[in-house]
Amino acid sequence: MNENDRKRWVRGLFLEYEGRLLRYVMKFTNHEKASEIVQESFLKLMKVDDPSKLSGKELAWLFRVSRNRALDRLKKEKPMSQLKPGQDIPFESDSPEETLQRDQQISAATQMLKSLTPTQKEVIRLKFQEELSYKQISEITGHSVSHVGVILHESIKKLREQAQQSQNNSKAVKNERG
Amino acid sequence: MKEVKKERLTAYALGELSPTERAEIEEIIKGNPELQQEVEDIQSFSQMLSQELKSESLPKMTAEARGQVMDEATDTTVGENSAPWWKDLLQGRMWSAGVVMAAFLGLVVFFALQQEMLRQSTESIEGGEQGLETSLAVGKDRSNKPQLIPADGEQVAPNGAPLKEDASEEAFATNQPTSKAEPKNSVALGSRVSDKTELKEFNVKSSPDMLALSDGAHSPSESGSKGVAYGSGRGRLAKRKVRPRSIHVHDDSIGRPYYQPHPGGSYEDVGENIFQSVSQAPLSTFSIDVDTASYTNLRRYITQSNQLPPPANVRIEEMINYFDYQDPAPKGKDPFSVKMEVADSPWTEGHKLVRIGIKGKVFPKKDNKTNLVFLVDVSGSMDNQDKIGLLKEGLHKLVEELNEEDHVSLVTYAGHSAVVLDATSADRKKSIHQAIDNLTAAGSTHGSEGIKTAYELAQKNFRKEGVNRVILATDGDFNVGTTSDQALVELVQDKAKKGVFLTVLGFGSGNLNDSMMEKISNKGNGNYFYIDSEKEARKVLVDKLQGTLVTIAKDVKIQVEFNPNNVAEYRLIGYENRKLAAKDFNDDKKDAGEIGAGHSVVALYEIKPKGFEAEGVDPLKYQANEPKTKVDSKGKFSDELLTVKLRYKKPNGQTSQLLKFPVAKASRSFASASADLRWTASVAGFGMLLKNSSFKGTITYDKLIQWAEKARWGGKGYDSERGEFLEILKKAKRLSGK
Repeated sequence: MNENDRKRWVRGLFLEYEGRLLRYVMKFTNHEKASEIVQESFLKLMKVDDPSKLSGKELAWLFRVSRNRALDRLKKEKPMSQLKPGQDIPFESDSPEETLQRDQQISAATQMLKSLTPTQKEVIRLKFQEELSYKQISEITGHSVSHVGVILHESIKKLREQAQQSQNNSKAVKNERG
Repeated sequence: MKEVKKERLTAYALGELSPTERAEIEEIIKGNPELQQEVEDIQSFSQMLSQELKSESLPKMTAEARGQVMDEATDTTVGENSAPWWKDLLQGRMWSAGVVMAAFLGLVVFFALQQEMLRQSTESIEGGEQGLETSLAVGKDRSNKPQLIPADGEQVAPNGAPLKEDASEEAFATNQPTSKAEPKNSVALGSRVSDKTELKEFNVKSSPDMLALSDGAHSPSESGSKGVAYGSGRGRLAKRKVRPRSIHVHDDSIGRPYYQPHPGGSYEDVGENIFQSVSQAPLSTFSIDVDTASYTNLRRYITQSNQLPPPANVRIEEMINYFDYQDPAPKGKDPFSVKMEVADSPWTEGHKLVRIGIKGKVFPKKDNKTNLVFLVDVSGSMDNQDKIGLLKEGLHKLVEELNEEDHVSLVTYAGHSAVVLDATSADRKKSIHQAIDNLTAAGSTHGSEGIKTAYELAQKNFRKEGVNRVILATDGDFNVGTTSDQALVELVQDKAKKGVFLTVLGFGSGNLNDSMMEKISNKGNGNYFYIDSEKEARKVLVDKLQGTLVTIAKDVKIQVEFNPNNVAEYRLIGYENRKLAAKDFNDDKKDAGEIGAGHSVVALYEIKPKGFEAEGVDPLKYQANEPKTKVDSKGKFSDELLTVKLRYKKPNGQTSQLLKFPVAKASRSFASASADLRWTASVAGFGMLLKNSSFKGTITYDKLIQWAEKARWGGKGYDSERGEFLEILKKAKRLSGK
């Protein structure tokens, strides 16, 4: 791959994935920093030794590199007390102030995933928003494939129960009124 | 019946299993309608979830970050010319390829100009009204006013500048819009385009190559400061897409959207000064403040984060003092000059503004031998291009300004402090540059140890006839360990008495401990600068280095006594956290602010003249309600509005000197006031809007823009800082939605 081919390759990926990647990274940090992180990932992609090895794995690679970069930066920026090892990742934290800090919209989806843990939110989003496979999610997050399966199963279970409950509640309200 | 693990069923439903695994599951669920139903339920729920999640909008990166990727990922042409093709277009080298783009831009510019002209014609109509509004002048009898001479014979500037000069300047200012509507080059055009959001949407929707082109054409590196305006415009657009208005924290008591400070940032709200009755409190006493950090900080909020700053973060005196003024340079041996001016308040009818402008002397460089100790925070949180990166850049530049008479030491602190460089003469520039290069950020902060080490070094290398200063560079994420804030402040205070002053350079936006920084530098006869950009680093560390390093007077206090015959109430605008008790003025043990070489320090009072006093206050029972001073309408003080008293010490002095300046009550209309007064009022007004001041009167963003546009040509021609202020003002207007 010559220099110009490489540039075309990166540009193609950039124009295709910019939004998806940024949307994901913005669950970790604000718009400005997320932009920098995504930018760094693409510049890193420009410099990979053998692009052909990445063939078909570009998206997962970009997500993984951006994720690691975001977590690194958060670790450096936050006072030590706020980010202890073993603690859940700071993904789409649900405090409204923090969401605002990250320039994040409070969408219907955010609202829907509210009850999940950050780890669950991340895996659910990667699965259903980005439509990635268990294997890709495993590559990005570092969870084993079977662990990804467990997280997804539990998250879906929780969300379904929640949906069931709110349905029952509204039925109950209707019945009362009726 | 065979068992099936629940998560395997989910994986099956989501099509995640290999063919053999799939076959196994199918075998199990074949005869089990319950499991079949479960699979169907998972599938339909997943579909719903997926639809919901995928409907979430796709954001766009900031213009700067995008530009850099596109820059890297754009084909290079063969040969020497390695700039991307769209750069050629900008430079006019590729006309043929530029035709389509030119036509496109032309169209856009046409609309932009049309809007601009429309806007300006509205403005000039408003301008006319403004003239009428402010024409009620009190000081009609200016011509026969006697010139006031201060009692102790010190120099005092006459009340304002000659009228003629202002008139011509006014004419010049009114001509501005016309010439401004004719853009001089394509770069300026581009940046104008960026103000039009709807047109940017158009750009975004065009084909990928067109996108690259339009983004590149305005990349910051190409268009300089204009590019910055573009960049933020773009960022705003991108953010608007992902952050609808509806989620702004809207506090009705504040009346506009604003954002909470970063959870890690700590900003103390100093509130605002209220009107004081002259009969009850005839003296107003405060310490001067030359800090400008609040302005740089709010600039960062507005231009880079696309947010209005939290009101608590706005210190109006720091905004005002960010700018240069044309106050006369000091004459003779005086370390500074003082100029006073009175004019109508543009925001509340009948009120007056009193501007007190102090200008510090500038010394030739050769007179100052420096002993500088840099105390650099290398904790993990500094590891960022806009922190340690900016700092290193700044330090390299500063070192270039020094010579063999200057000594530089470098102390770092993180988990523990380390002396990296001990009093090295600046003729060994290479070793200093090397030491700066080797600074890397890692570890946690322990601020107090570092400060102690730095002061010890400064004391060890003390230069009796020179500048001795510790320069603390940090993002303020102080972990003072066993040391209390108070102990730290006391240390700094104590060292200042021994002649070692402190400069604090604040970096970053995250956990900047603004109030702590401000507190430390206030107490330590120091100054505090917030470095938000390379430009600011250059301003503080190179262009205004003397003002940053060389103290010409310390413990500078101002006390204003108002004449109850002419003033009913007064309000000091800003300086809320610099107020002193009246008795502190003559107490030389009480610390106050310092003035650096060439610094401008401005204080602004809003006064209600006699006859405008607030109703509802009971007359005093135990004091005479009439002024005690025996001055009738023909008495010797009847012409005076107030007296400004100023105390200061020489940098190494222990006893203060007193200056007194009476100010006549004669006043001008706002329109005919000096450009400096009008500029001060514009900046103060902006601060009042940002703080949502109860005294903002009729101020609107449109009026501020109009005042500032007329006052920006402050006698010395183009001032890029004033130009930038106008951009910030316009952006703040958009962010406020007004």
